[in-house]
Amino acid sequence: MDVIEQFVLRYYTLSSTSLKEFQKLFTQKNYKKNDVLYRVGESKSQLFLMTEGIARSVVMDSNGKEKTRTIFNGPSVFTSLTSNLYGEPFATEFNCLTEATMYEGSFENFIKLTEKRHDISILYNKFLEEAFINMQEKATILSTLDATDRYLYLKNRIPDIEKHIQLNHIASYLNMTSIQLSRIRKKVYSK
Amino acid sequence: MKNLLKFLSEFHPLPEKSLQSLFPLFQIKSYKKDDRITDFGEVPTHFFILTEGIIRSYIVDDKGKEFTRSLYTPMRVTGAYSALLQNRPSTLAYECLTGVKLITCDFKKFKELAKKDIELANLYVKILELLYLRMEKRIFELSIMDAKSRYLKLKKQIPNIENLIPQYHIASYLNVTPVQLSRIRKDLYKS
Repeated sequence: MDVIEQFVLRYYTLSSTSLKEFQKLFTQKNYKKNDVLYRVGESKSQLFLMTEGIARSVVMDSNGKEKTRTIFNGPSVFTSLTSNLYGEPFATEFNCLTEATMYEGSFENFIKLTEKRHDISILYNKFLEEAFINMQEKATILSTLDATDRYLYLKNRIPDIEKHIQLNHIASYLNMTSIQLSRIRKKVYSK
Repeated sequence: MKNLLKFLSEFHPLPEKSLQSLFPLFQIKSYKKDDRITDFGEVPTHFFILTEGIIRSYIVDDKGKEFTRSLYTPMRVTGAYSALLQNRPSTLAYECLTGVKLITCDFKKFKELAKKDIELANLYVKILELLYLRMEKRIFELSIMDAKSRYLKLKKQIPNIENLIPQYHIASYLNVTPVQLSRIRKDLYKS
C-alpha cells in the first residue's frame, strides 16, 4: 500500500478515483533538523502530510522573542490556515525539529478537489476535526494544569522531546519561564 | 430564519435543495440568564447558532478555580465541539450570561446530511475552519498579549460589554483577577 493511501486511511476511506486525484497533489520531500517549511512573509500555501518527524510552528511574542505555538508529531497533517484563508503572509514560521519525511501539495488545489469530490471534502472535515480537538485539548491543558503537569503531559506525548528542541523553546511552548522549567525538571528527575 | 439563511450563506453559498434539507434540523430555543446550555459531564448532541444574548464557556480545575474559555455574541456558531466530535462528556460548561435566543441543530443528523450532500460537507468545512482559527487566536492572545491589550481587544469586539456582564466575568475571560481589571480600567480611563 502506498504511503499516502496509508496516511489517509487513518481518517477516511477514499474512492480509488479520489485517492488518485489526492495523491497527484503531492511531491515527497525529505527535510533535515532545523529546515524551514514556511518562512515569515512568504505566501505560498502548502498542505503538509508528515509521515515521520516532529515539526513546529513559531510565533514572535510582543518582545520579539520566539515562542513555539504548536508541535506536530508525525504522522500528522498541517498547513498555515490563517494565510491560506485570508491570503495573509505567514505570521508564523514552520520548521523541523527533527529529520522529517514530508509530502507537500498546493493547498489551493486541495481545496478545489474538496469542492469537486465529496469524499475529499469529508476527508478535509476529518483533518479539521482532529486539529480542532488537539487545539481544544491544548487550551484546556494550558488553563487547568499547573506547570509541572503541563511538562509531564508533553513528556508523555513526546518522551524524547528534549533531544529535539531547546529547553527555552519547551518552556515557551508550555507557557512558563525557563527558570520554572529548570526547577520542575530538577524536581521530577531527582525522584 | 431569513437571518439564519444569510448567516449560513456567508460561510458557503448553499443551493435551495441543501437549505431545504437542513431546515428540519433547526429549532429555536430561549434561555434565561444563568441557564446552562451544556453542563459539565453532559454528552452534547447539538451545536448552536446564537442569535441573541451572550454565552460564556468555562472550565473548572480540580481546585474549583474557574477559567472562562470564550465569550460568544450573536451571530456565532457555538457548542461543546470537542465533546460533540468525540461523543464524550463535555469538560466545558456553556452558560447564559444574559437572556439568550439560539437555534439548535442536531449534530449527528447534520453529519449524515453532509455525507450525502457535498455542499453541506463544504459548509461544514468552512464552519470548522472558522472555529479552528478563532480558537487559535484565543490561545495566542492568552499566551502572548498582555492583559491591557486583551481588554482593549474585547472592548473593540463588544464595546458595551460592561453593561452586559459583571466585572468578575470579564476578568475571568481576560485571565486576570477583578483587582487587576480595576487597575487596567483605571489606567485607561484616566488618560
